[in-house]
Amino acid sequence: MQQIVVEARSLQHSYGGVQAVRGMDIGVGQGEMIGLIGPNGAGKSTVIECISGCVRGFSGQILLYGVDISKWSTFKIARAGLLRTFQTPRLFRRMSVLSNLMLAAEQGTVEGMGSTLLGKWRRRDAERLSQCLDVLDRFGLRAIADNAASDLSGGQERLVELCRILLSKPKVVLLDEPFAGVSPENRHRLAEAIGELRASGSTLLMVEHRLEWVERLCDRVVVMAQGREIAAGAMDEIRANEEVVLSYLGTKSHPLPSTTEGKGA
Amino acid sequence: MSPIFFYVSTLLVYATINAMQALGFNLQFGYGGVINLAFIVSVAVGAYGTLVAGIPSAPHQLGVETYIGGFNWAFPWDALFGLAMAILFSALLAVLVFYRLHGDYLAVAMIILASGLLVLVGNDTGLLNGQNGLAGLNSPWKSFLDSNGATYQVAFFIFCSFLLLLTWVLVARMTRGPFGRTLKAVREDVVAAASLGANPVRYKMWAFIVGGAIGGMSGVLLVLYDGAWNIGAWQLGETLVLLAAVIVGGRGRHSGAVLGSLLLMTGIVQGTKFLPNWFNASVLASLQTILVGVIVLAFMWLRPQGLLPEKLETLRSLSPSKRRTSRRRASAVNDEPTPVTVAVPVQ
Repeated sequence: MQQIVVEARSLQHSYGGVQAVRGMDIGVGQGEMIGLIGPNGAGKSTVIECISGCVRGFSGQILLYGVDISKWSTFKIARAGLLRTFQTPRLFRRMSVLSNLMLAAEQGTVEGMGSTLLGKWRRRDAERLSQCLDVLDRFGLRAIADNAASDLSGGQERLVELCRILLSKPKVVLLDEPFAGVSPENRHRLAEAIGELRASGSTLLMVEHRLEWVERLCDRVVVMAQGREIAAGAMDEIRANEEVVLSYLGTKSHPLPSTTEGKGA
Repeated sequence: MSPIFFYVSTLLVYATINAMQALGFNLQFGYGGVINLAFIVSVAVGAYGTLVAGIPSAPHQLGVETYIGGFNWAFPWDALFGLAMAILFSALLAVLVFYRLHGDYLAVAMIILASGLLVLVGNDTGLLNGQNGLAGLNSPWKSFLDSNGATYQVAFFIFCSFLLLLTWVLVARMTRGPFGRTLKAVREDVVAAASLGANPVRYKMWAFIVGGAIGGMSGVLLVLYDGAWNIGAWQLGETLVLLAAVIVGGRGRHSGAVLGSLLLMTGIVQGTKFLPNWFNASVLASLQTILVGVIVLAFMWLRPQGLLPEKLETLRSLSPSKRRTSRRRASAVNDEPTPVTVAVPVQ
């Protein structure tokens, strides 16, 4: 039995009067990648917000490697190895792309005051720089390394956000619609970055609307609607599920074309 | 000592002290992203602390003062006491405030705190002699240096300059490397920084406490020089002038803070004194305030990044070079600090 790395149990959360998540159970096994799909407003992003500790006041349990992290603060969860991306990329806009990456590399956010005053950080920073250069080159970002993050296109922003995650060497990654607003040529780079995360042993959960990528990248799919899970399994099973079809994929009389036929990448 | 010498030397002393205040305030505001509108209170704590330690017990000069303390310690013990009080005050405030308050709420809480303390201290509460404040602090090195002489002026200026140097080195070192980078990231986007593993409270507290300590030290120096301190010296408006100075000079950059203090604090306050005698004294004070306000508005509108904008950290700035791999000693003061800085694109 595969170890469940991160799971949410009986998760419930409301924003004001709106019940966003109504009793959700989801678990991701070691090295797995799960796609979380569903119509807008289904509560998918809320699940990510709760698991990553970015919202408070939800009921239920979040477990990371069996440890209850429901009450943990965001940074503590991040230090435990669970990282996430955001629906709109949250880069540090007035800092350079390079700075954004340097922050993530080699525990770049936990350097102490003592080492800072005494200059001991330099060697580690040199190591960080070489890691960042490596990633910049692999994803063709070297040319924009010196640009302020606010100067990037949407696709570049998402790519940098993912590179930042890569450099952090996370154990678990939650991706919130990484392909949204990304041009075709950048989508492959994104997929490559995600592939690298998987190859290094990370466990992933991806919320996404672009089903061709869900199908291509994920082992398993979970469908949410109106705050709870309505189906789970392989993509083909999901597509055959009537409830899913009605609420999300299209009506019986106007089905969406299968994503494996017709159009290429 | 000629009047001109006295004027210039006094000006220089105040210029260095103002520069120190600007560095401390900028550490909290430009680097830490905390708008501490009660900054002047930390200055006051340093001043009052020094007085309370340095003057004899109440009543002291006129026979009617009421205040706590009065240990009659000599320099430097009174100064060190004042500094210690300032650090304690900043630390206490940081612990009480940072776990609960952020952004605008923090700013408002600071205003309320400053106003409340002014009322508490300014009234007949027996704390720090109310409206009249405290006076009669002995000048440093009193036993061998007459405070009315030219040598004392020069010595005090050198003393202040040395402390300014130390301050600059301290803040420059604190804000470089990964720590400085994370500090700026926390300032830019708290949520994103936390999601990468940075504890925002830790960074803000460092900036806040050290900035407050620097403010306290400036208060110690002011009171050592003036010998006295009262309510008039730490009104809310004082912090606004500091805010104006770092906005004009360039927040998030130490040289910007110093430049802003020279232009706005020393420059305008002093420069307007040389205007022809069209205005009487009270109009002059208002004029200074208006001028500072207009300049700040102009900068916020036209050049929010200030005169010396932050710099982006680039591949070039991080690549090893002969200068960077050599050991840097604490003498590197006028250098631009290691370029872990951030750009504000022209808006």
